Amino acid sequence: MKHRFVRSISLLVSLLLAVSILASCQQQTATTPEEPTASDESKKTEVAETPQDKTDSENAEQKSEQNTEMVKADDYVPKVNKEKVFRATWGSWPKPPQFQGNPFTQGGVGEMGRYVFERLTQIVRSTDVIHPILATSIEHSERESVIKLRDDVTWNDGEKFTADDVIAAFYLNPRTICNYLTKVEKIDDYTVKLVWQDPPPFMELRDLLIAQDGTMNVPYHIFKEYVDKAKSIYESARDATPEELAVARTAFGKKLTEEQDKALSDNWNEMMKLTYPKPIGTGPYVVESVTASDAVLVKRDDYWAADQIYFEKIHHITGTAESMLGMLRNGTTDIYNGSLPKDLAESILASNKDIVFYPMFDPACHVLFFNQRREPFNDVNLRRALVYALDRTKIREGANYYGKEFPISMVGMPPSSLETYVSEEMRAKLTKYEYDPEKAARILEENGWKRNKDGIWEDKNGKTYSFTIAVNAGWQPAGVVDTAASIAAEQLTKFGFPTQVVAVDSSVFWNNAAKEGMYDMVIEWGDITWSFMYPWSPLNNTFKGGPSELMGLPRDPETNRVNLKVKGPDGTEVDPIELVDKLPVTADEEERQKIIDTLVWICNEYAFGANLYQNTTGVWLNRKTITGLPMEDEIDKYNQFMPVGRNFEEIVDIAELNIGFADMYVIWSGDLKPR
Amino acid sequence: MENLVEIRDLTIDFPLRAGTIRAVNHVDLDIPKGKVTALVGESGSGKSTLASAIIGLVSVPGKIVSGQILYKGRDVLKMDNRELNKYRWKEVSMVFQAAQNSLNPVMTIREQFLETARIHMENYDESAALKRISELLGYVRLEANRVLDSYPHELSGGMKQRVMIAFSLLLDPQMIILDEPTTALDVITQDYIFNILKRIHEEMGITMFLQTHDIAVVAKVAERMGVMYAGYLVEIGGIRDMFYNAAHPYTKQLLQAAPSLLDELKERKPIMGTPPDPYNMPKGCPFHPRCIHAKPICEEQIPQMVDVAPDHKVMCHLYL
Amino acid sequence: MIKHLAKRFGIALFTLILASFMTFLILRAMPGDVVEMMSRSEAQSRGISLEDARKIVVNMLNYDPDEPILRQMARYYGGLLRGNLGTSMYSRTLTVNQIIAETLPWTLFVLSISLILSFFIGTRLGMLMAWKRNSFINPVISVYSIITTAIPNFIFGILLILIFGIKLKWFPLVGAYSPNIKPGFTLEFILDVLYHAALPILTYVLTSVGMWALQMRGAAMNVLGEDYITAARARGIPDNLIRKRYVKKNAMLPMVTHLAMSFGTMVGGSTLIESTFSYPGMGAFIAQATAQRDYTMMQGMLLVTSFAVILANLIADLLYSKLDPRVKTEG
Repeated sequence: MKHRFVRSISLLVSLLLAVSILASCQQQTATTPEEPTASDESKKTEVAETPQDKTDSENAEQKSEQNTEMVKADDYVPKVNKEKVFRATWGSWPKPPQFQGNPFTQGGVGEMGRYVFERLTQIVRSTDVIHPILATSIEHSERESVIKLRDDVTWNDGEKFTADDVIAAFYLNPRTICNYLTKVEKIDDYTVKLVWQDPPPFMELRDLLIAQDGTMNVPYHIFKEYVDKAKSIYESARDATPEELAVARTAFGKKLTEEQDKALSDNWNEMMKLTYPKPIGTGPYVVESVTASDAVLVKRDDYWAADQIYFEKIHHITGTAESMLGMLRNGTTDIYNGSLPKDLAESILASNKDIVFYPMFDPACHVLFFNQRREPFNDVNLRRALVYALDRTKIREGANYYGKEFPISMVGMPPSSLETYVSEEMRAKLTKYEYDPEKAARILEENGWKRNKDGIWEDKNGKTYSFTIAVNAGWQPAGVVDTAASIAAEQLTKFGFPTQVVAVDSSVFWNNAAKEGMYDMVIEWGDITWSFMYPWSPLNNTFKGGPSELMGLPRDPETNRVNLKVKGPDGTEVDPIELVDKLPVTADEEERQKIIDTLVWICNEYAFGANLYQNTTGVWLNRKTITGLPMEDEIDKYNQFMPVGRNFEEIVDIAELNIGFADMYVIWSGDLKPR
Repeated sequence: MENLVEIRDLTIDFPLRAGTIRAVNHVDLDIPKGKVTALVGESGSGKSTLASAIIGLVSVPGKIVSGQILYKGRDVLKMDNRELNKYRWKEVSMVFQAAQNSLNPVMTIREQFLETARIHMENYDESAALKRISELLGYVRLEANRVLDSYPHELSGGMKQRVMIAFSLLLDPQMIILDEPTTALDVITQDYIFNILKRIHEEMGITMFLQTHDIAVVAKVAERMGVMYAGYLVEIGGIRDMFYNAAHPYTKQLLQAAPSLLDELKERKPIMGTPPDPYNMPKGCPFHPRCIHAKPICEEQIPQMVDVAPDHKVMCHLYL
Repeated sequence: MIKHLAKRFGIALFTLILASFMTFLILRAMPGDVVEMMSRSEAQSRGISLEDARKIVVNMLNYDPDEPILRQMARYYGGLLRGNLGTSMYSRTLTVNQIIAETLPWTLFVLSISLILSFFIGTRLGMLMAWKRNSFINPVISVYSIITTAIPNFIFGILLILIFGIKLKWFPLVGAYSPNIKPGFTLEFILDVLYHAALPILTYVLTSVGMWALQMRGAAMNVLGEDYITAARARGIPDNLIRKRYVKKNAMLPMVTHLAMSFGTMVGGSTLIESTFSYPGMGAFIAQATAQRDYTMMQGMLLVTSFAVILANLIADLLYSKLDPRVKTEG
C-alpha cells in the first residue's frame, strides 16, 4: 500500500518537473501583447510610390551621400558597442574543412562573400535602386556601354584592382548578361567596354543587367590561367546565326562546337580545383577565422573607403532556425533577416525591447501551381474554377499573416508591382478572381462537370478525381507552405475535390515536382523576381524557369523548350516565349509595355496557378548595439514594429537593410554604425 | 543436553501480490549442541526459510511476524546489522541448497575465502589464513593449489559443493546449516559429500542442522529429526524413535514413500494427495485433507504439540 | 585464446564487409539525383539555364549513373582497399578521408565524454534503484527515463538551448569554440571547447542517463536474486562490499556490451544533435551529405559509422572476456 502511494507521489512530482521545464520555455512565446501593434496599420499601407527602373547611377550616388549625413545622435542607451562589432545571424557557409576561398566551388564561400566581395554596382532588390560601388560611371551608346572603374581599389591580398579583373569575371563565369554581349574589352586599366549584340538590350535594362549579375570581378592574378583559356575558347568559336540565337541565346553570341563546349567545361572543372584558404575580394573585410558556426571578419585598413566603414569587426553566426532566433531574442545578434509567424514575431518584440522589426514587401509569392501534365489540370476552366474556390484570405491568415493576397490567379510577377509596370488599361481588363465558390461551381457545371450525391465533382465522363498538393518538406521556416497547403486542401476538399497534402523530402522535391511532374499541384515560390523588379526578370522566370516546370507547360520533346501557343488579349495567337525573349531587346517603350501587358494577361487568364499571397519579409535589428536605423526616433512610437515605409526614400532605406535584397550595403553606405 | 539454538514460536510471512503465504507457522524447535539435527519436508514446507532465519536471512519480501531465535540465549532477530555480520559464519555458517551458485562468478576462490577471512578474523594474517584454507580444502579432498586460483565456473558441481563445505568451516563455527546440500548432484557425489560431512561431524563435533527431503540421507547422518509440513513442525524426535515409532500420519507416509533402507521388505508407497495451496490453507490441521485417519475435529482445530515419548513430540489430534 | 581472438576479428571483418556492401547498395537505391540537385543550385548561383547547368554538372561530377553497378563496385572496393574513401562529389577538392579526419575527432570528443558521464551516472543511479527498491527515486527515475527516451534527443537539445542558452545565457548556442580564440593546446582553448561542448554533452547525458539507470537497475536486480548474494550475506560480508564486489561487478558485465553498442549507434545518431548545435562533427556532415546526395561522402561516413559500431562491439567482446572469467575458456 505504502509502496503504491510512494510511487504515485513521485510520478506526480516528476511530471510536474517536466511540465515546469516545458512551461518555462513556453513562457517566452506566451507573453504576446494583447494590443494590436502598428503592424495592422502598416500592413494596409500599400507601397504608395514604387521605384522606377530609370534610377541612374548618378542619382543613386547623391542619395548614398545623403544617407551618410542622416546619422543621428543616439538618445536611447549609453554606448555599448565599444569594440565596434557587427554581429549577424543568417545564412550559412560550407563548414571547415570544406570552407576555402574560391567562390566558384560548390557551396562557394557562403555569407562571407557579402563582406569580402564587391560589385560594380549594387542593386537594391525590390526597389531597383542602383548604387555605384567599384564603377564610377556607366555610359551607354547604341551598341556599347563603357564602365569607368575606381582607380584606388586593391584586392585584400595587396594586388591592384583593374579592368582585367572585371573582364575576367565575364569570361570565366558568363552570366545572363553575356547572352546579350558579343565581347568585353579593356580600354585602359580603369575602363571596360561592353559590346552588345544586335539588337541590344534597351538602355535601362543594361544597368539592371550589370547590377543583377553579382560580382562582376574576379582576381585576375589568381584565375589568369582559366580566364585566358575560357576567353580564347570563346574567341575561337564561330558566331551563332540569328536563327540559332532565336532558339537559345548563348554567351557572347557564340556557337560552340562539342569539343569547345567540353573544353570550356573542363576548364571550369580545373578552376574549381583551385583552392586557397580565404576569399580574396576588394571589400572592406577580410576573413579572420571560420568555424562551422562562427565567422569573424576584420576591417581592412587599406580599404578604398575605409573611413566610411564604421564596424571594425564582423561576427557572423549560423545555426539552426531555433538557435538563430534565440540569439535574436536574447540580443546576442544585431541583425536577422526574414519574416516570422505572427505569434513568434510579437513575442520576440515583447521579450526584448531592443529588437526592432522592419517589415517589407518581398517581391515573391507563394503560388499554388496547377500541373498541366496531369488530368484534369489541362482544362483551363477547371483551373479557373479552382482559383475561385480558394479563400486566399483564410490561407494567408493561417500560413503567412503579414502577407497580402490579390484578386488575381497569377500574373508572372510580384502583384505589388502591377501598378508600376502594367498599363492601367490592361489592369482594368484583368479578370478578377475573388473568393466565389458559387461562381466556381457555375464554371464547372457549364463545362459538363456535376456534383455526385456525395458532393464530389464528376467530369462529363462521370470520372471523379482526388488531388495531391506537394510541398517541399525542407521549407524554412517550417509551418508556412505546409500550412498553406493544408488549408487549401481543406478548402478544395470541401468544395468537392478531395485533396491531400504531401511533404516531399527536399532532396527529391524538384526532381519529382518539376522534372517528373508527379503531383497535381505544388506550392512553391512564384510570381517572383530573383533579381530586379523590371518585369522581364520575373516573367522570364515564370515562362522559362522553375515555375514553367511546375506548371507543366507543354514542351518541345526535342529541345525540351517550352512550346506554348495561346490566344492573347486581342484574340490573336501569341507565343509567350517569343515575347519574353523579345522584351529585353525591344527599344520601343510602348511595344515593351504591350508585351508585358500581354504576358501578364496570359498568366492571369489561363490560370496557370493560384497566387496565394505575396510574402512579406523583414529585417530585425538590435538598437542596443547599432544605430543609424531608419525612423530611429519613432521606434517606440511604433512599438518596435515599423511601417513598411511611408515614402519612396523610406522604402529604399528599409529595403537596403535586407541582406538578401542589397547584400551588406547598409555597412558599405555607413548608414549603420556601432552604438 | 544443551541447546545451541532454541526457536520459539517463529512465524514468517511472505506478503505477495496474490496474498500472504505463511512459510513458517508458530514453530518451536531446539537444536542441541554437538548433534546432527535434520529437518525433513517436501519443498515449500518452510524448512529452508526456517534455516535461513537462523542466520538472519529471510529472503525478500519475507517478514518475521512473531517469535525468537535464541542462539546461546541471544535473540538473533534482535541483532543489528553489525552484530549479525559478526555472528554470521563465525558462529553459524551455511551450505546452501544451490551451492553451485553460492560463489561469486567473477572472483577466484582464493579471493572469496580471503575476503571472508579478512572480515571476520581479528588478527588477520594472510599466510596463516591461506594455510588454514589449504588445510580445509585438503579435508574435503581438494587440491588447494589448483582450486584456489580457479574461478567458480572452472570447478565441477561436486567440487564447488566441497569448496562450500570447506568454506563453511573456515571460521570454526559452532554450527553449520546444511540446506539440501546435495540436491543438484549425482548419487555418487552425494554419497561422497555426506561421507565427508559425517567425518567432519565426527572429528570436529560441530553441530549440524540439515534440511533435506531425502529420508535416506537423514537415516545416514542425523541423530534427531524434525518433520515440517506446510509451515508447521508436525513431529520431532530422536532418529530411532522417529523411524521406528513415527507418530504423525505424515511422517509415517514419508517413511513409507522413501526408498527403503531400514526395512527392506516394506513396499514403497507414495504419499496420497497434493500439498496444500499456500494461499488457501485448509482449516484445522493442515494435513487433514490427505490424512487417512482424519477425524471431524481435524477439520476444525489446529492440534497442539504433545509429547508421545521422551523427547518425541507430535502435532496431531490422534494423540490428544 | 589466440583462436578466440582470431574468431572475433574474423567475425568483425566479415560484418564490416557486409556493412560496406549494404551501404553501397542502399545508397544506390536511394531516391533523388545528385545531378539534378547540383544543377539546380548551379543554375541558381551562376545565373545560367538549367540545361547548361546540367551539362556542366555531369561533366564536373564525372559520375555516370548508367555505369554498370559491378564496375562501380569494383572502383569502390578498389579504393577501400587502398584506404581511400573517395573524393567528395560536392566539394571536389576534398577527399572523404580529409573530411572525416577533421570532423570525427569532434564527434568522438563529445560522444566519449557524454557516454562516460551518462554511463557513470546512470549505472550509479541504477544501482541505487536496485538497492533501495522502495525508495522514491525508483519511480522518479523510471518516469524520467520513459520521458527522455520518448522525446527525440535533438528536441531535448533545443529545449536546453532555450533554457541555458537563450533564457539564462549560461552557455553558447552554437559551435565548438569561440572564433576569437586560437585553436591550439592551450588551457584557454581547452576550457573554451569544454564550455561550448557543455550543452551538446548535457543533451546526450540527460537523454541517455535514464536508459542507463533502467538497464543497470534491471541487471542489478537480476544479480540481487542470485544465490551468491545470499551466500555472501550469510558469510557476514557487509553491504557495501556486497554492493561493490558482488552486485556491481556482476551487473556491469552486460552493461559493458550495452556501452560498446550504444557508442556505435551514437556515432551514427549524432546527426541531429550536431546539426542542432551547429557542431562541426561528422554527424552534421552526414546530414549535409545526405541532403546533397553526395554519394561518396555518405558512403564514406556510413562506412566509418559501421566501422565504429563493429569496432565497439569487438572491443566489447574482448573487454567482456577480460571482465567475465567465464567467457575466456568458452572461446
